[in-house]
Amino acid sequence: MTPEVNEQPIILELRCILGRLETALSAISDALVITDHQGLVLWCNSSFDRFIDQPRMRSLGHPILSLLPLDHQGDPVLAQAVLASISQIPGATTVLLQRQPLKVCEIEWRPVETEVPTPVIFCIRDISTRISNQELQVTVERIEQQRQHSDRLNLELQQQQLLLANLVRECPVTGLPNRRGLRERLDLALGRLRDRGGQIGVLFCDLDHFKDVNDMHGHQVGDDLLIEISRRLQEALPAEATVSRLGGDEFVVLTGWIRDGSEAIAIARMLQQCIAAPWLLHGQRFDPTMSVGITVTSDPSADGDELLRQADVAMYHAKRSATESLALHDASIEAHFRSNCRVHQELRLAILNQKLTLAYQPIVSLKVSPQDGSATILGHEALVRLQPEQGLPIDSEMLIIEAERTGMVIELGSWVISEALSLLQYHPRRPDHWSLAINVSPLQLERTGFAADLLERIEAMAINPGRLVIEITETKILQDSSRCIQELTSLRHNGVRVHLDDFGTGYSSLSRLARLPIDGIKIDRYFTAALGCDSHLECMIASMIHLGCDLGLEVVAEGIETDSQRLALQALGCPWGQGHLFGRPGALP
Amino acid sequence: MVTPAPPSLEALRHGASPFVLADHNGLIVAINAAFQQIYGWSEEQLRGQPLSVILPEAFRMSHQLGFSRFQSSETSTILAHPLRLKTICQDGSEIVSEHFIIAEKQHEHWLFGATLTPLPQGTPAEA
Repeated sequence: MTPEVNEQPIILELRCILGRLETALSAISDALVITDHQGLVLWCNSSFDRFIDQPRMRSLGHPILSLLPLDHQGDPVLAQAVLASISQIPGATTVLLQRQPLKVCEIEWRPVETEVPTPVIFCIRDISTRISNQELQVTVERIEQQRQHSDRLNLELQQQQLLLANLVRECPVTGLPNRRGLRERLDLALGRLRDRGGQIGVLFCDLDHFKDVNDMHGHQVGDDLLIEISRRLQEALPAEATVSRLGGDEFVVLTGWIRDGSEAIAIARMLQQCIAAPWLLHGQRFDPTMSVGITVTSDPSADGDELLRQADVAMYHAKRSATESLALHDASIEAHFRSNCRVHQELRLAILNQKLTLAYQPIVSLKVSPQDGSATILGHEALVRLQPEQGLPIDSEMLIIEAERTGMVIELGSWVISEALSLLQYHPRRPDHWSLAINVSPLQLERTGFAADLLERIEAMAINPGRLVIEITETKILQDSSRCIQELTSLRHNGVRVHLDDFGTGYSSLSRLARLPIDGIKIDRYFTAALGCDSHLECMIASMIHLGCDLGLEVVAEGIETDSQRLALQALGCPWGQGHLFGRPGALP
Repeated sequence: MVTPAPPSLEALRHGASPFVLADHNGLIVAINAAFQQIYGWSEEQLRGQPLSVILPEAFRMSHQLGFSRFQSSETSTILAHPLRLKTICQDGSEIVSEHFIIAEKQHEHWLFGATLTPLPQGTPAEA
């Protein structure tokens, strides 16, 4: 029957409202189902379609129980008894559908009591996520417990390894006693001193250039060499003496009873000779040498570690010595060691706290002015000075040696360059011939891009590069190296001058001198001091001056302290000089 | 792939398949002879009746709600798709048939037409 005309808008409006409600109910995440009183599906939303994974048309008119999935044990999620009463009694149940991955749903039903027979509304909610969070927490706790257990096991393992390591007394490579084995033997020897008197010696032996062997031939060859050395040492050892390996290329010989230090020195020399025999491996010849530091004691209460330290200090002293490869620890070696330590520490602090200064010593023309007899200043050499806050000034030579040894010369040299460039930038009003000389370490020159960096800074600061002189020691430039030569060549091509410092001490061949990228030589003070005292050296200095001048080099004699030296150098034709006679290092005038 | 345009109401109405036409309220306005012949209804019996009278009881609520949703949103998930449903005959029996429903807007009102092609006996509804 067609509705009355005036009811039409109401029907349309109600239909629209119903449509919106249906759309809204379909959009919610919970699955909704309306069944009749027997559980046959009359309507369901889209979430229910997804929950049972089939289209709605297949659900309509079917029992809801046949549509719902079975639980994890394969049983219906709602018992028949429950289903029989759904139109009378509301209820809810939580069902575990599957364990892996976890899927749990909550089913709630409620009869719509306004109608007879009573339809039922089902609401099915996926609560797997909530359960999963709890499960996750349980899993996290379980993992945490496992981790703690694993940590405990690791700790126990480490402790056991430590215990085992403490039990090990032998070096695995050489079979010699290791540090622990040595300490036991040392304690034993000191104990015997208590009973028998006399002295014992500790010889700290360090192979020379062992790192080169490892680097060039590999660690296996290095290990083979260590085994060979340990064999030779053991064969040569006198009775009662033992040898241990501390690690790396360090061996320690503990002498038996000896009369005095001279006997320890004799043993050390004998051992040095024994290990020095050529060693052939895979067609390669090795000529091992070692430096030995010695300490002796008659004090049975002496500390074993202290004895090892003293021998170690003596060994480093020997290694640095140009003439002797062994040293017996004494007060002077200890003082030298402590002094080096102090220099090292002071230098580190000075660089850190910017406490370094530069002092400038004039370089003059030895041609005396005919007007007033004064020497023309051609330039200055900048010299680093370190005045510690407490104690005596640090000797400049020691400062440089320690800086070179520790590698701090890189920072030190960088600071010197910065200071020198600032001075050249802010003091441009100097005579045209004036220049500033700075000392550059080969370690600086070996760094990639040294020349390029310096030239870039010179250009950026608008400095005349001809004002700057780089001084490099003869010994170092001869030891090295193509890179040094390249860097110096680059500097010279761009106007920076290069002087060879301490000339005459580096045994350079004359043929080599002609090919070095230099603009001048600075004859070492050793030769200047010999003027008037040593005719042979006088001949040498004369030759050096003539050679330098003939090669077109700037020739500077260093260490001029007396007028007679100046006159002698003038007579030999030396054009430039430097020394206390013309001015000590100080502030720039 | 191009989906062919659904046939027009006129084409369905004059086709050989049983056909029923309803207005924007979901009230039947016409059936064809094939429909009368297969399902036993006369046009006089159905004209002005809601479409739900030829649907099984369990489908009526969903039909009404779906019809209402179309009226509020003019969107539907069942139009122009073959649906395997049951159709109620005049004698109360049910015949499984393929329903193909289309909607056309004419003079600002929607008209709904459906062919209800009977399927061989034993075919389950939406199986």
